[in-house]
Amino acid sequence: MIPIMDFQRRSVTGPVMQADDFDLEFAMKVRALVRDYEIRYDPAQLIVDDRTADAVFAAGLELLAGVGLYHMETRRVVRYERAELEQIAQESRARPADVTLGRGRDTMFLRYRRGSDAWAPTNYAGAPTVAEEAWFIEYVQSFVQEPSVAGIGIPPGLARLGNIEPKAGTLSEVAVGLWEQAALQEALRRAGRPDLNLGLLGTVSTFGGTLAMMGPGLREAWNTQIGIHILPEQKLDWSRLLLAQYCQNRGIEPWQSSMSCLGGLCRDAADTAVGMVANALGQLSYAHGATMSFFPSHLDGTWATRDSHWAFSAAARACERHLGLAVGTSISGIVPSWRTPLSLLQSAAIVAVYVPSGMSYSWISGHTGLEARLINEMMEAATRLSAGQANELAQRIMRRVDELLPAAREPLPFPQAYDLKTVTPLPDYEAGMLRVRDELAALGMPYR
Amino acid sequence: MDKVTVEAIKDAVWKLEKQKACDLVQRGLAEGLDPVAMLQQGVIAGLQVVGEKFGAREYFLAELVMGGKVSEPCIELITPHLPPSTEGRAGTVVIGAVTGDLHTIGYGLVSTQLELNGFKVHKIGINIPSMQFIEKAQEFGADIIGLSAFLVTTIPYCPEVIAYLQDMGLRDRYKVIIGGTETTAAKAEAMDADGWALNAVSAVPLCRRLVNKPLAANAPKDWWANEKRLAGAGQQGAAR
Ligand code: B12
Repeated sequence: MIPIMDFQRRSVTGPVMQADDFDLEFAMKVRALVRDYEIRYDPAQLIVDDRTADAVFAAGLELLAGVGLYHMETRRVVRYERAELEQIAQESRARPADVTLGRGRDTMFLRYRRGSDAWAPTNYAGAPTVAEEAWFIEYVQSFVQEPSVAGIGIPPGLARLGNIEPKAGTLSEVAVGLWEQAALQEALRRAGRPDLNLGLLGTVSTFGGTLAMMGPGLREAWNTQIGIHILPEQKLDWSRLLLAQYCQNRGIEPWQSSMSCLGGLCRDAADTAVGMVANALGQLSYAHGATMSFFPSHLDGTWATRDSHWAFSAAARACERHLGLAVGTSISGIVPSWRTPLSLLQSAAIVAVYVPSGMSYSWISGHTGLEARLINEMMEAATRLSAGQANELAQRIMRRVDELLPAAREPLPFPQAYDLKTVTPLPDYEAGMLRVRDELAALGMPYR
Repeated sequence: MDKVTVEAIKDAVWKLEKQKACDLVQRGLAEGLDPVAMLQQGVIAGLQVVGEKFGAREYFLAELVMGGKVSEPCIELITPHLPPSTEGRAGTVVIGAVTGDLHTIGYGLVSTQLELNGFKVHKIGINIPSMQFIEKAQEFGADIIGLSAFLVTTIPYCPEVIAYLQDMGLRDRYKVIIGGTETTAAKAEAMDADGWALNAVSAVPLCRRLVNKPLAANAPKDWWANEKRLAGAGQQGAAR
């Protein structure tokens, strides 16, 4: 393990470099590694085989050993010895993830999981994106009242509270953040689950703002995670290191997530998988956490494509075979299809590929409690599929997605999906979602 | 050795051969090749090919970055030889992500598209304090200040920059444009910005509109320019 304080030295003594030059070095190195290790994206086989997983891991480790991380403030490269990274991997393997969050009846776990394990991933659920003050509590409640939801992956952010606009790094960010914590407690109270884990922060994003959310009655080690993630591609700053240090001092489980952009510095799914593994090892090196969300995203911000499925599978299976992390992601369709049947179909394809690839938790499960429940059911079903069967199912679902995609419309706002008084799904919305369940059963989702 | 042609310069630029492109430009200048043609049909045309290849997925972000690195020294070599009236640069843009915002990818792409289309772009980074946008705009003699903001907590920094300009008596000196996933034309209008664009390709016609350059007939339409402010600036200009 590299002690976090060692990143002080590395950050201020590494080679000086312009960000553009670092990006170029990164891009060229990824390409060379993908060629040398013969890693090929194959849309016909969305769950990658062992050889590919091993190659992606080896290439990711070599990428980080070769180019390091770029510290955006000191403009220096944080460098690693290859042996250090091998040791980090070995330590992670030796201590498979077993994180407990929440308390009492509301306890949840994040554990290392193999693709072939019979237990279904933890439903860490929503409630994602941006909400309005008028329906913030009901939106969160829609998730936490679902017995299958084990914790709040991330609450929604708020763009406005009365006449306050939260402004990063100022009093208003903290004021809105505090309202958010109280509103979350109220949603938990209404659902009768006061001891649920609250996951990441929603509105608050700065270092100071984050610290202001910590304390009794707000966020503590048992009910929070704090994001310390590297920025794509392989970029770091003091606030990431400071937050990682804070997590270590307070016994908080850091929220590690690795994102890489398809079509950016990484050309395709093969490059992206290697980039994500390197990012993951980089975070592990300073944050020492046990969980890792992977987000392969296209340059236009979309995902849930064959390319992103393959990239996730490759990175997740690389971790399954070489690290002891609990691996997760967000199970959600693209933005214009939120809370429409298309989105649930896209989520189903994610489930079919990711569960047999070793996913251990779903950090976001759709965009309402109903969707979280339906996605949980799919995750349980998918544990009954072999990798080959799951790939065939995913292919069938993706063909259906291809047919529907051209008609992707505006997302359905939450107040048009749920009755805000009773916090139950409105009939049209519910019927549409249940039809997707029938369609998935017909396509071969082995529901009980 | 054959005489240098603008075609050869264009080819070296899109093939990303930096040394060769610089050598050709230097030789072209020595051989008395027209500097305006070297710039427009050589370097800038080469950059346009880079952009087309990116659109066709033959080139990727790394190639866009390299395109900038190849063309920059060439343009610096040519500029002192241009007649004063030449339309070398379409305009100068200072762009970055506002305070608290760490999203780099979007504004990076906008910068590259603007560069490929003849703008001089100064990328000033992420998490940039509002006042620094103004100081950098002054330092570089910018026409346009580009603000990238993604979060509910960072979009409010866009009107802050505008308010500073207003209070410093500089509002009419710079055009302020905004962008980022959660921004919209309506938000831009509400804060009285000069423009908004949905994506990097649309940022080009937006910026051309703001510096009064003609638009291509097939230019993308996903952008909004504050015509009220543009008309106001015209009147002020006439009054001056
Ligand atoms: C990649 C990403 C990240 C990466 C950023 C990496 C990087 N190096 O940039 C990481 C993981 C670091 C990240 C972190 C966070 N993110 Co983020 N992120 C995204 C994501 C998935 C894609 C953004 C992106 O790069 N897209 C690709 C580019 C090419 O597209 P684009 O950004 O839209 O840019 C185009 C246009 O917007 C426009 N444009 C952009 N800038 C400008 C400027 C001008 C002047 C003009 C004219 C045009 C223009 O042109 C661009 C090119 O075409 C979006 C989701 C989404 N759908 O956009 C969320 C998203 C922006 N993130 C979000 C959040 C909440 C966060 C975090 C707070 C998460 C957390 N709790 O930690 C942090 C905050 C970090 C911070 N302080 O800024 C939310 C914002 C919600 C909100 N409104 O508040 C989003 C919308 C996700 C969501 N749906 O919830 N994120």
